[in-house]
Amino acid sequence: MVRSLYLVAVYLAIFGIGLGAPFLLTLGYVWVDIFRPENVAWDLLPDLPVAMVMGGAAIGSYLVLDRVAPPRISAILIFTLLFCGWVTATSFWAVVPIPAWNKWDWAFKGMLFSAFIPFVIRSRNQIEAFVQVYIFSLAANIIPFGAKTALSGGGGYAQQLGLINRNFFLGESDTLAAAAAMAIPLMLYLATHTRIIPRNRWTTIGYTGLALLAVLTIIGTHERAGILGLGVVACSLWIKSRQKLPLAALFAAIGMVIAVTAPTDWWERMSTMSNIENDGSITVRLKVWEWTLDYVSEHPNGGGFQAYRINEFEIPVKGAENGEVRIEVGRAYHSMFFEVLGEHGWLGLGLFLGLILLSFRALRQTVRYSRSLPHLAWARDLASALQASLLVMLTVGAFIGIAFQPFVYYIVALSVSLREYARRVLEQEPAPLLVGNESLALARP
Amino acid sequence: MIDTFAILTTTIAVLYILVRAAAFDRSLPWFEKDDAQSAKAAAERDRFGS
Repeated sequence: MVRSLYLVAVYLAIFGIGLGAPFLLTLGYVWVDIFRPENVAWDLLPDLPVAMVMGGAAIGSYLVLDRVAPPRISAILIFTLLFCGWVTATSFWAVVPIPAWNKWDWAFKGMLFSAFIPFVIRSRNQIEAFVQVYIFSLAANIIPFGAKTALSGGGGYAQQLGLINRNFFLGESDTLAAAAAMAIPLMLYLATHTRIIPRNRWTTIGYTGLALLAVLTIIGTHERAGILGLGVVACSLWIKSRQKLPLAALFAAIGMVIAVTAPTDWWERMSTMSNIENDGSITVRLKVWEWTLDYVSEHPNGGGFQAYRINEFEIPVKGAENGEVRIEVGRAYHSMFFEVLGEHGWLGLGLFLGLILLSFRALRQTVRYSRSLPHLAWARDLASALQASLLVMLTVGAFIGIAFQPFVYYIVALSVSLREYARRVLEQEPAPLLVGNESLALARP
Repeated sequence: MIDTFAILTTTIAVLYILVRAAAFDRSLPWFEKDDAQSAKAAAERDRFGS
């Protein structure tokens, strides 16, 4: 009850501060969307749509009070809106309508809100505040999970050590591992560029410590895809580092600490990565992916959200000599690409991949715009961190169904905000190093 | 205890960030700051919106 009272007070305080400007209400929505107070402790207001109130207030206050210098109508905005429309359309012919509309309800809101974010998150101050609020909202699950893993060696596969004790969103170990791996580049970015929390030795230690807790969280979840994500983070940091040898030594030291301290059950789970033949979960995944390809060959527009619930296939029983099989029914996709393909068909997959590619392009443009302006070094570094997050998402997402999780769309939205910021600054300042079509394109209104 | 620590530290951090961001943006008059960082943030707000 005390926890509920405290969270109600925090919610009201955030809402009160948010009344100062639409971008503050938007940050409040990010906190509600990632922290999920209603899933942590919410005895007092269980039926109040807290996210809708905060999100509606953000959009409403923007329409009434703001609307200064909106971003250009970008391809990302068009793709996001088209994707929103298409997932709504597929819900009308969904093969399992009730679960489909249930998923649509939360997935659609996150996608649509991501289209709104670039309209209110426009300046450096607002962009950094967005990253900070996102990281600290996520940290509410990473701190307890990482700390408990350090103290106890982790709770084993699919154990819930975070704040959310339901098998939903960050309460699911695979989703938490994906979010933690994607957040590490952003935590390390804040360690060197934080301004809202004034940078000093303690903030550097704090953000680096948070990144280490994210690593411990990934280890504690026993998620093999999370370990792959960690590998991608390490590679991207190493490639961009100017001190390659010390960094390689640091990674080797961290790897050795993990190797020495990880419990036996963790090693048993990780060892299955190199033993596909005998791993039941990988066999099931391959069967689900095969079923998805068969399904979309007959239904190219997909089966709507949660279409996997109708799948059914045979799996050979391990060790049986007489060809014995067991029947598997309603197994999840365990891949964001097959998730989108099975649910929204080839057009849906095209729109989803298009969004990711356009985000990469926007971040590459940001790097290019900010290269000639030293005071935009922070934007260049943030763009690099977001690119690393997207790479981690592509790797981890190949084995986890995170296609409609809000943090995926926050990265997409941030890529637009950042690119638009760099473009506006460049339009107002001389850019001596830009040549040819680049400078002409920027000079256009 | 760890859960409570995580809730307290992260929510206090979020509130602090919101107040500081509002102060730099000069969105909330009672939190306004009068320094170079706020002046730049407010100038960007005037150009790009708040």
